[in-house]
Amino acid sequence: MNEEQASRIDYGIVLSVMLLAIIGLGSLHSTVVMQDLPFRMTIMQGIWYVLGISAASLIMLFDSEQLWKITEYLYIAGIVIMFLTLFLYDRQLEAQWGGRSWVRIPFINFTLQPSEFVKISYILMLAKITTLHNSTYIHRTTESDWRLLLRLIGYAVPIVALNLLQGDLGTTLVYFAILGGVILISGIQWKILLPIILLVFGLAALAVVLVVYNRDILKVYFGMKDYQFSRIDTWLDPYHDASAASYQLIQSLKAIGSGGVFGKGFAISEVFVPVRESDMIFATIGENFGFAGGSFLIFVYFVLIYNMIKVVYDTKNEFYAYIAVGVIMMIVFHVVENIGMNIGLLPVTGIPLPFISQGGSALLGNMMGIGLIMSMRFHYRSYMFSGDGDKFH
Amino acid sequence: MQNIKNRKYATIGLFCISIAAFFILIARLGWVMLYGEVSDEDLTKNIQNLYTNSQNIQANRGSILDKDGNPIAVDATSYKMVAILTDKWSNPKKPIHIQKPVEVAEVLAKYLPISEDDIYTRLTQDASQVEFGTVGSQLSYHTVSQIKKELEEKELSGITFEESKTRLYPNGVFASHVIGLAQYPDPEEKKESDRLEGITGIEASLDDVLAGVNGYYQFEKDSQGYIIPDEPVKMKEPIDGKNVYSTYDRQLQIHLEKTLDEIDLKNHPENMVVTLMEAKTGNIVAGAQRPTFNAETRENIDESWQNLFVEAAYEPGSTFKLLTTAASVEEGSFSPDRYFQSGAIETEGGVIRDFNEVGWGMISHLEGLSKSSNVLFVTLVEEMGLDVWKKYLDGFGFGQLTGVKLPSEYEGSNPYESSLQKVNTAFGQGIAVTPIQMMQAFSAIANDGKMVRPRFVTKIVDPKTKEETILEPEYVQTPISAETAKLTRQYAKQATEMEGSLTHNYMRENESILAKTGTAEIADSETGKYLGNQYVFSVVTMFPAEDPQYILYITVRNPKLDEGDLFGGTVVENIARAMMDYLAEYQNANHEEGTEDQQYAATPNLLSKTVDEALDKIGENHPHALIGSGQTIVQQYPLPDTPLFDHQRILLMTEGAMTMPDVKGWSRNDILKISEITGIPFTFEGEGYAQSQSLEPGSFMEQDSAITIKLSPNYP
Repeated sequence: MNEEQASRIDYGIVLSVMLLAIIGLGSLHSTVVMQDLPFRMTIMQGIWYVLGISAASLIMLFDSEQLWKITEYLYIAGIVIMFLTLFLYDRQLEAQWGGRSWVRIPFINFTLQPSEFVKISYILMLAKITTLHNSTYIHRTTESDWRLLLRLIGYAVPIVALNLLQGDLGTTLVYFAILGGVILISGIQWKILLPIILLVFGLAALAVVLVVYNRDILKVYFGMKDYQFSRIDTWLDPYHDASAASYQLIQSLKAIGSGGVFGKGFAISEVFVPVRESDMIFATIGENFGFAGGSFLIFVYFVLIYNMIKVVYDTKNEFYAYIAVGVIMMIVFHVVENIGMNIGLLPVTGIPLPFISQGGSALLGNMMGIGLIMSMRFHYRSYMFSGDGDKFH
Repeated sequence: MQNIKNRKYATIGLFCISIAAFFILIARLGWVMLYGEVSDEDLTKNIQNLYTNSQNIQANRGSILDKDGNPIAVDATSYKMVAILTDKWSNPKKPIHIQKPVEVAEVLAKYLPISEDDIYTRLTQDASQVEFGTVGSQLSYHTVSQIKKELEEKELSGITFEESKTRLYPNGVFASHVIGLAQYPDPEEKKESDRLEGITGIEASLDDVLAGVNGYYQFEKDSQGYIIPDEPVKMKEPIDGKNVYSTYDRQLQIHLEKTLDEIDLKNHPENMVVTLMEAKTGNIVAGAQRPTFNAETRENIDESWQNLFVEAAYEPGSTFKLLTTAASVEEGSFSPDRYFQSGAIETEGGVIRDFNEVGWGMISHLEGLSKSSNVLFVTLVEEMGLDVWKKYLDGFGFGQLTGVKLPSEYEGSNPYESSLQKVNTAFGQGIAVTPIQMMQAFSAIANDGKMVRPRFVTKIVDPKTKEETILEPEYVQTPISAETAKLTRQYAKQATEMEGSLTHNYMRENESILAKTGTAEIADSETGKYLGNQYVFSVVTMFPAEDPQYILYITVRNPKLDEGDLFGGTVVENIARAMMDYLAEYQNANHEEGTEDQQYAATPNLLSKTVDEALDKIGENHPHALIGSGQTIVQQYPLPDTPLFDHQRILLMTEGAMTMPDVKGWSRNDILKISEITGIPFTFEGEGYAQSQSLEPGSFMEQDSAITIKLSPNYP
């Protein structure tokens, strides 16, 4: 990269995020019109975009050093907030959606999902542990790699456990994905990683086999619930039970399938899809703008991911690299899982489409992640002189 | 530095995984959106439904009527009630699921024969939707609109009705195999686009005429799937199926079915086939078989799947000699006054004997015919030559399909291989025929040589345009000359009237008749050897003998003989006599009246009338039975506006719990109708009419009450 000409702002990321925000606000409004939702929802989302962009800009101003210093505090604060959520969760939303992950802010009548932005402190913590470890053990040994692996898992466990206690499987999976991304890039030797990866895939395959052929084992020993099975059934065969579990997916497929190549146009819908405004918003994009619109959206995500990966590739600051990988994993996982479930490729789990779905917490979390990545470029020079780069050796 | 290098490789790996994931997403998206199929479910079809928002309008299936326009098979629209319990499909603004089960149950109990508690239990089940069994299906439009109105007034959601056409066969057992059945492809799981499909009999063979073409509504919907009332509704009218006039005469057919029921009870034959055909036109005016099934209740359908009239072949026996006679007359070998030595004849390496083994000495050909001498017919056939005789067998249509429009017709078999077998065909053994082939062959004799194809349909009428397609009788071949036919009839009549004739009993006071009986041995279906103790008894009669109007042909297989019936032929004779007596009486009566009126009326609508009003309306002409102890009629059988015949029993159901009516003297079929509308099964002991019932009249009937009805052949 030519640092002379490089601006401190990464316009590739800014542009794609702005584009996603515009698509998001547009599709949300379209959904509001189509499904008779209150117009307040669009306005609120607009406000969240403003708040999110402000948060991203604010975080961008923090440099590597400052972030490094506050990481532990953020991590502990995250655990405390997640813990408190277990007691303060909103009863009404729990009854409606069956998760204990929302907290209602008194007076302004606002619900937040702390697990969405606690992701950021989690990413920071994992990045810091890895950086610290790698600078302590410059000569890697099998033993030191195992130590790092266990430490990463050790720091992830409390937060993952709290997520599970909140009953939010989708978000828990995102935390796993982040952990996986950081481990993958942490420099741990392949002779350790490969068996673990194979083991994980093996277990996943075994789980699917058990779901299909012997549910009792999962029910008795792992406490899985019937609704979780029904989601997997729906995924494997959406038309297996058109009456109940698959309704959401079938409606989504109908909406998307009916979009054709160029869609029906803005705010024109012929299918009712439950929770279309949040988890099922891709149905709106597919129905309104067709295959062209859906592919374009995926392309924009691709541009965003590409730009973020470029940051990881170019940066000489290890800490930043791990943070960026965490953020990338978070966004990629959200995108793939959300779109995948909308088109029947993956089982339905309640996680939103980044920057598009209605809901302030997720937007805020994602924007903060973008803020972190933006800060790397923004403080490029400051770490140029920190003596960390190989140009000086 | 190693770290950084590793990290870069891992980063590239990560990037590749992302690209792969996104690529899969786009591929799948294209599959769904452009190709339009998910899990083998054709999305394009779903999509089309979304665009056009069309809804199927079922065409009415044409009716099958008797020759005077009385209904044999008709459509009726009925409704099935479904309650939606899950809120998954509900838009919060316009909920469509049950929200207030108590109130809904209260409303429903008013109109349905089921208690409020029962409804409440169903409405609070853990299911997405529930149906209400028998009491919630086959609802009339009247009941449905009343329930809908009250639910709307009280703003209660969650109850929907599915419309369906049902096929009614109001006569029950009525030439069931020939008329056939129409039903939905999968009655358990009806789809909107399904229609009634003919599966057997005329229902199947004329399915394309009867079916009609479905139409559709097109309307605008908002995104919730609700119809926008202001938008113009586009509609394509369905084209109703055409009405088919069959050849059956309802009175004669009912009499025939009744006669066979009685014979069945008394003699328990393995099977019987009786056909009364108009000789000139081939119109089958009455035709029945045992075993049979009730087309309305489907009772006994599994035991009697075969249409014996066209699908089952047997060795006809001596009735066949009438055809041999005709051929011999044509060839000049039969001469009434020629004498021959009866008893036994050695031929083709075997000895053929008369049925009494010894014969009657030298007798004339005419007497040989009247005594059904096997020797005579072997002689006649040998005289004309076996190859010539084969031409007649072919000419009369044996071993070939008649081409009658009924499914799965069997051509029988006319192997004509060994010489002995060839000779045997002279007296109707060694050849397998179907009743319809026999009717067609006999028509050559009755009809001056012109063989007419038996038929069941005379007219097809478009219900809307009233355009008629009249089907003319079809003359197939002329195996014998008019002169021969006339002579054959004359000889057969003389043979019938001759002293000592086997068919002497068939003679009638005011009518000349010719008759030929037969007792065919049954061969083991596997070994081909004659069993020796099993027979098909049969008779063919034509009357009046000079110029026959009717041909009556009866076969009875293995009847059990009563003390009064000295001979298997008596059973056949009893059937023939019952039919001919009735026909004579009926023709006289019609002759006096001049015209033949339709014999049915539309069933009055008794729904939501009070019990007293309903009984008033029914009057004396129809027996009735009341199920339930409530004050208002909520269900009735027959359904409103469907055919109601003279003296047909009307079943009424009131709201609230169901009660058992007094069924003493009812027929099994009438009792089964209670079962049909209540959904409560009965067990029957014996056959005939109800003598006693295990549940006292007036007691409450429950799904699990085991009710046994004792039947006896005698009317109590």
